Amino acid sequence: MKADRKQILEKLTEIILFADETARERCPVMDENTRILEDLGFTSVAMLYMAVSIEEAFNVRLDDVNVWDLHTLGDAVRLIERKMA
Amino acid sequence: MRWWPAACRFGDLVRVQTGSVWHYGVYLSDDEVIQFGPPPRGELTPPGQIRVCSTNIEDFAGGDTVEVALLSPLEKLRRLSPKRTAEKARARLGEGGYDLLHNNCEHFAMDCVFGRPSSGQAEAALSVKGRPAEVWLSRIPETLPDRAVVPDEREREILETRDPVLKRQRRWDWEVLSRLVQSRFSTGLGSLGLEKNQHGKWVSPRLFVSLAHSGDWVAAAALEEPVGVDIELWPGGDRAGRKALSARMLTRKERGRYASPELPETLALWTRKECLFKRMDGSSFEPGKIEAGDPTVRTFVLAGVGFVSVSTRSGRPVRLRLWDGGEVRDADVREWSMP
Repeated sequence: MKADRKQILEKLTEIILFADETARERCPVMDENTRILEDLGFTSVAMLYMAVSIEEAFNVRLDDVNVWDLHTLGDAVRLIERKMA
Repeated sequence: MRWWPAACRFGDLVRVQTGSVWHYGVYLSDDEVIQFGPPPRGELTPPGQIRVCSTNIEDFAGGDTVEVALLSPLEKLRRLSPKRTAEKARARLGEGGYDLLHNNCEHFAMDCVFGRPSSGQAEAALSVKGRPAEVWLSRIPETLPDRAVVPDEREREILETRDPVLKRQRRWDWEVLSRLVQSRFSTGLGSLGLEKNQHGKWVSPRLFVSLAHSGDWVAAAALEEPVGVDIELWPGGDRAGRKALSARMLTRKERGRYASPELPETLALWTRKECLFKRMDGSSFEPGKIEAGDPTVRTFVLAGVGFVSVSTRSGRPVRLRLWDGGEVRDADVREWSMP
């Protein structure tokens, strides 16, 4: 599945809102600068869940990736882009 | 040796009390007292920037009384000559590598005077191995104190946090840490010189601290040795999701041992890995490379809440305390053992 950055970000946002529908209230605008910890309040365990969701949604493997190094949604978008290329 | 506020002489080992610790130096003259770092007063120098330096006796004293080591006859025989002490001290000017427990001002001064580094203060701190490490747990109250925290960097960090849950967690865990430090070390957070290192971890040249939060619970630790703490509340999630988590977070050895861990085990293992990572001050958290069975970790079940894990470098016993904003009492926990 090929997707551009905008589509990847939209899909990521869907994943986040599915997991936590209140995220939109806390962070009305989710863009590539949105910080995963400070703005979305993701815990380290939540990052694990997100990694699994990303793998399923984008049909990629993140085994060789340390998802805890992702600090912004932009970091996640770039990672997914790289994996899908 | 004994200490006395006597007149200083060339080559003397000297010290001055700053708060609850002693700062040591080598006296050569009123204009030349060589020390490893400035006395820890006011704004503290980050450990990475501490250097062996020369100052005058007034700055060394900082208004307090300077004491001189009165050596026993045997110590006088053992010590280096004052001339050799001066040569050694001057030769080390500009040197770094400061470490609170293994290479501090006392180690430096003793090495210059006796030819061998030692620190009674550090040894006392390290000898607390038998004494339980006290970790405080606290549930975030409805109303949080309305006051800025110190240092400024932490206050800014809290203000810039947009997620309201995380904001409350950060404000309260700092409050808990502050009370814990005051209770255990009779000092405020402002005197610890806390700052964030390059990995985003709060560090101090005087104590090791660790914070954790989950839901409306926070945990805080402050010790004389490296420590890491983690707390995780029972999450939701289906079994299939938990299996996927386990596959990702377990080491190869653990996957062989925990074929399909139930949720409690998964959470417990998770807290053990996180607290280890926090203690070891790594740059990148990779749970698949951290063995949860490390013997320095103690894990506890907080009834009705979740798991708390604590790792100290010495692997000493841990005492969990519950603070409700007023009293502190022992937490109702039971220790959890690795299967």
